[in-house]
This record gives sequence, C-alpha cells and structure tokens, in this order.
Amino acid sequence: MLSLVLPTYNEAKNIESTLTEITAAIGTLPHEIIVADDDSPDGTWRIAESLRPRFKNLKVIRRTVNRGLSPAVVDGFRVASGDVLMVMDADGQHDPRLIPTLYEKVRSGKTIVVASRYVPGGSVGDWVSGRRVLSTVATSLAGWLSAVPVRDPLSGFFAVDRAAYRLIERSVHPVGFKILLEILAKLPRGSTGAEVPLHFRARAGGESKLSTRVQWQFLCQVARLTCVRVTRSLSLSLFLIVCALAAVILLPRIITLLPIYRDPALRANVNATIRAAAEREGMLLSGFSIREIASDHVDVRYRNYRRGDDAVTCMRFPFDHSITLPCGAL
Amino acid sequence: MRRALSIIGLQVYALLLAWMQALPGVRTDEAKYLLNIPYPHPPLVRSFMSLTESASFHELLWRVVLATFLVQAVWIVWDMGRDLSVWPRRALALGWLASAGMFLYAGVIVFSPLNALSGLILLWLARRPPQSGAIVGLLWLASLFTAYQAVLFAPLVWYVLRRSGQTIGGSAFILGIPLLLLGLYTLSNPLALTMITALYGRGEAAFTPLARISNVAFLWLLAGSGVVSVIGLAGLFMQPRWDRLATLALTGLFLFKSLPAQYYAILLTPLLIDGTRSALARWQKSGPLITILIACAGIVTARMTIHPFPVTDAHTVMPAIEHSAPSGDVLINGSFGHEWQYESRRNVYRFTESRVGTAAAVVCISACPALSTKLWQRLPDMPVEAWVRKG
Repeated sequence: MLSLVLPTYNEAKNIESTLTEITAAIGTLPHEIIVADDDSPDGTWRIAESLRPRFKNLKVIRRTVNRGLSPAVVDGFRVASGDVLMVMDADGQHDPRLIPTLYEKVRSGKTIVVASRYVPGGSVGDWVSGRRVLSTVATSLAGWLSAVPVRDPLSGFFAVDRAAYRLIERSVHPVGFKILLEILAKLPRGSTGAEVPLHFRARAGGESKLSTRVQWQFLCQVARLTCVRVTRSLSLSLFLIVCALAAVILLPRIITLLPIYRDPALRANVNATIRAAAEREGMLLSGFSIREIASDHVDVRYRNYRRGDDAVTCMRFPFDHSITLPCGAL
Repeated sequence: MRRALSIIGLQVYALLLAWMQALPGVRTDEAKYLLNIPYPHPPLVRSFMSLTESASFHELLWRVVLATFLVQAVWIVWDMGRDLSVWPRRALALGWLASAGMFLYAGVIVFSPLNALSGLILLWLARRPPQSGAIVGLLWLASLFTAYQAVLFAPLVWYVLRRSGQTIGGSAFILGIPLLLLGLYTLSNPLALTMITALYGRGEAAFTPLARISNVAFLWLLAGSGVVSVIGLAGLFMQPRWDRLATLALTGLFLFKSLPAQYYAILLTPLLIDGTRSALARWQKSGPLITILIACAGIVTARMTIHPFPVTDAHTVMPAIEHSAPSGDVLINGSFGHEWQYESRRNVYRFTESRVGTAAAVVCISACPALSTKLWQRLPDMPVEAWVRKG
C-alpha cells in the first residue's frame, strides 16, 4: 500500500485541486493520503478535514509544535501504514501522474526513487535564472552526501521503502526543507535508488516558502551531514587507534609492577618502605610513582605537585629502611 | 536572534555560578585535579587542566569551562523535548537549569558533573542513535578516563550501541574494551588504588544503613530540586526502559555505598530529566503548572543550598607566605589537603625536623614545636599559625 504524505502550510487554495488530481492519478492503487499541516493560518487543515467524506483514504494531522516541512514529513511517515512512503508538494508543482511509477519502482526492489529535475526529460520549468543558479549550487553541495547516487538529492517528490526508512528513522534530523537529503545521507549501505524525470510545474497558487532562513537551514544541514559522514568513516579507525595507544602506554607500566601483584609479601614490603620513607622525609604519598622493583629495594619517582613546573626526584628506598639513595646507586 | 540571546543569557548564568564557586578558593578535591595528582580518577580531563597550570587565571578558567558545559547542556535537554509542546519543553529545560546539582556544582572542579553530562548525552543519543557505534565508543572511553563513576552508565551505553545498529558482538567489543583499558590503568596506579581503598574503608564503619538510605534520599531530592525528583522518578517507571532503570539502580547502589558527598547528587539529574520528559509527554496540558512548580522549587533550593562559602585557610595563608617569605619550601604540621599545594608555587612538605633548617615557611595546623624567634617571625592575622623565616 502507498502512504502519500502532503506537507502543507497555507495551501487552502490548492489543497482540494491537488487531492483531486492525486486521486485521479493513483486510480485503484491501494493507498492513503496524509495531509500534515503546520496549523496554517488560512485553515488548510480545516479544509482538508472537510474533504474527508469525499476522499475516503484521507488522514489529516494538524501540527502545532516543531513546525517545518521536514518535521511534517517525519510526522506523516510516523502515522503511515503503507509499505511505500511517498512525499510530494501540495502546491501543484509536482505532477501526480508520476506517483504510480515511483510506487512500482520501490515495489520492484529499489530502496528509494526520486522524481528528478536533473535527469533527461526533467526540468525546473519557469524558474528565474537566480533560482536556477541557487538550485544548481545547492544540488552540487549536497550531491556527495548521498549514500545512493542521485542527481537531484534536493527533490521534494520521492518514494522510499518503509522497512529501509524504519532502520534510519531515529537518526533522521528533521530540520528545514530538505528531508530527502537527510534520508539519502542516512540510508544504510547496500541501498539502491532510481530517478524518474520530473518537469517542475508553476505553482498553482499561494506563495513560495524559500526564504533566507530556509537557505541558511540548508547550509547548516549540509555542514552537519558532512561532519556526520566524515566522522562515521573515521570514527572506528580513531576508536581502535586510541584504544591501541592506551594499551601501548599502560602495558609497560603494568609489567614493571607485576612483581608486587604476584607476591603479597613483596607488595607489603614495598608499601611499608614507601610509607616509612614518606614519613621520614615529610613527603606526600600522592607524589610517589613506582619506577622499578627489585628484591631489596624500590626505585620511586617523587613529584612535588605545585603550580607551574613540578620538582621531580628519583629515589631508591632499600627495604631495610636505611638511608634514601638516588636511583641507580649500587 | 532569540537563540543567540538565550545563549548569552545562559552564559551569564554560567559565569555567575563559576564566580560564586571561586569565592572561597580552591578546595582539596579541586586542587587534586588542577594539579593533575594521579588519584583517584583517571588522567584524561585533569591532564588537560594541568596544561594551563602556570596561568594566573588557571582556576577561574576551568570553573568557567565546566560551568559553561553544564549550563549550555540545556540545549541537549531542549532537543530531548522536541516532541513536547512549548510549556512542557520549557519545564524540562528549567528542570535542568534549576536543579540543586546545577547550583551546587556548576563551576566546581570535580568530575561528577562531567559524568552527569556524559549520562545526559547518552540519554539524548538513546532517542537519536548515531549511525556509528564507534562514536559512542569514543564517548564511553573519554568518560571512563575522566572519572570512575562513568561505569554507572554502562547499561545506557549498551542500549545506545544496540540502537545504533551494532551487533551483540560489536556492542560487547565497544563496551568492553574501554572497561578493560580502565582496569589496566587502575593496575598501573597501585598507590591510587590503595588510597581509595583506605578512604572507603575508614568511612565504611562510620555510617549505618539507615544513615546511608537517608543520604541517598537527600541526594535524590537535591538532584531534581524536589519537583523534578518526584516527577522524574515517576516518569522513569511510567515508561520503564531496562537501561534507564538499570542505570538508576547502579547509581543508587553507588550512592548507598559511597561516603556521603553532595556532589554525587548530580549523577541522578540526567535520569530524572529523562524521566520528567516521559512524564511530561503524558501530562502536556499541565506544562505551565509544572514549569511554575519547578521554578518555585528552584528558588527554594537555591536559598537553602547557596551559602557564603568560608574562604579556605590555604587561600589566605599561602599568598601571605608568598609575599613575605624568602625562597624555599613550606612545611605544614598536621593534616592538610591538596589546596595547600595549589595555593602555593613552592614545594610543600609535611613538617619534619630534618627540613626545618632549609624551609622558608612553616604552617602549624596542629601545634608545632617551638620555633626560634631569632630566625622566624609569625605572620599576623592568619586563620592558622604561620611562620616565615626572617630574611
């Protein structure tokens, strides 16, 4: 079954025509349509609710917290019950006639299928040159983050296999507009993808939401996903290297101390000798570290902790509590 | 803009807390870490701290850094509440900022707040598992090598590793290797082990089971300033999750067995915050009321717990010695803490007759043998008897 999520904000003028067009395109495919509305001031959610008697498979979510396109899509996916999850815009810019094609490609084994503006047959329609440039730059920035090679990782019209989505659901960070990029960056290894050409249509009504804030959110998203990708590839190596280094540093110390772990009598002797020497010399136990253990003496390093450079002395304490000697004395 | 103002406001709060803790001077536990003295805890964070030891602003710098970490961690709490509506989310954030653990220990140079922070991060990751278990492994390794108490969060680490897609074998590897390394570190530092054992042994007989239970209850109340303590505990059982309950049990057992130390209270705070989040998810409509209750409890707790701390004797005596005595060592008679070493840039020894001849100053916390007034002069107006050699 198909679960189609329509994230909406102030699409009161478009919602009915969009739903009509979608229903006609879907035909007899088993489906549900989920309108996830961000509590639109123009009452989009109210209009959608009123259409439920006419569109039997329609669900409406009125979202009052954590508003935004990506969180709306994630919420829609959360309540979806289909095995193919799909997203498209509700402003008429996406051609609903592509829905069955995307659906069938996911059903035939693709993890994710994207309606793409940048494959042969696709286009951005009547965008002004400034927006074309912006889109091209953004697409280039985002392209290398995708786990599956696609030419339009920023498309708002795509379908994903529900089982694959569930694997990454908790790691998806829904901020901003580009939920597809987030999903593409998080898909597990072995995921497969496909693209179908999309001709981006003019908006049927209402206003674009591509503000400066949204563009800034996109840049932050790319930066974050870049860090995630670099970190993921380096983190296991770094973990192993750090653990190995720690072991290399610690093991020689432990080997030096093995005699006192093996021999309780020697351990007691070393303990008593150091304490007696500390008492005699006025030193603090916390300053001692054992350097070498022999059958008749212990060599220690005493560090006089203070602000700045610490004074460090190496001393030999014979077990017979005779005078303190410098390390290496015969 | 609003977020930037919030960050600035929080930073002012952090600076205030750090300044408050700086007033009495360095305490003995803090001195241990600032001087990188190798007990009782592993070396990671204290090694970083000692890099700036020579700087005059050393103590204040690290108070500000630690307070900043703890206060700005509210953004993690804020993200944990992202599925809540506005008021419950505010209540959750306020619960973190207004906990007695925050008032008492943001800006204190001990490691239980850092352990608490790593616990909070783990609870956050449990809701947003990373895609690499090795990242969790690095965090786990870092927290274990900051302080031993990090072991209490092992159940959370296991849970996050499994949620991030690690197999049982992979999770056991990432969880176990750092623990093994911590064991190796402990074996490499036998004096530290001896001193920890001696310290706990002395305390063991001094506290009855009833006294210990009272202490645990007191720390639980401190951890959440009362309101979050109750709501948080209820929330942990409303949506029981084995890892949170296991961590709660381990922490409770640790608090029961330990010597009573208020700074352990903050170890409970992340769990109570997570429990509060679970409770608020069910009681969203009570968000405004709970926010007000938390604010009131925070004010009451602050009034009860924030006292003018007495200035340490070392903070008064050592600078006076530095100013008055010729170069040379300081001898101290009687039991003293590491703050005496920190407040001085001279070598500090226990008083022994053999060192009196070359010492520059003598501090008598316990009564000293008589010192010749031809060679020594007593510093006036000192909280303890202090003598400097005449120049």
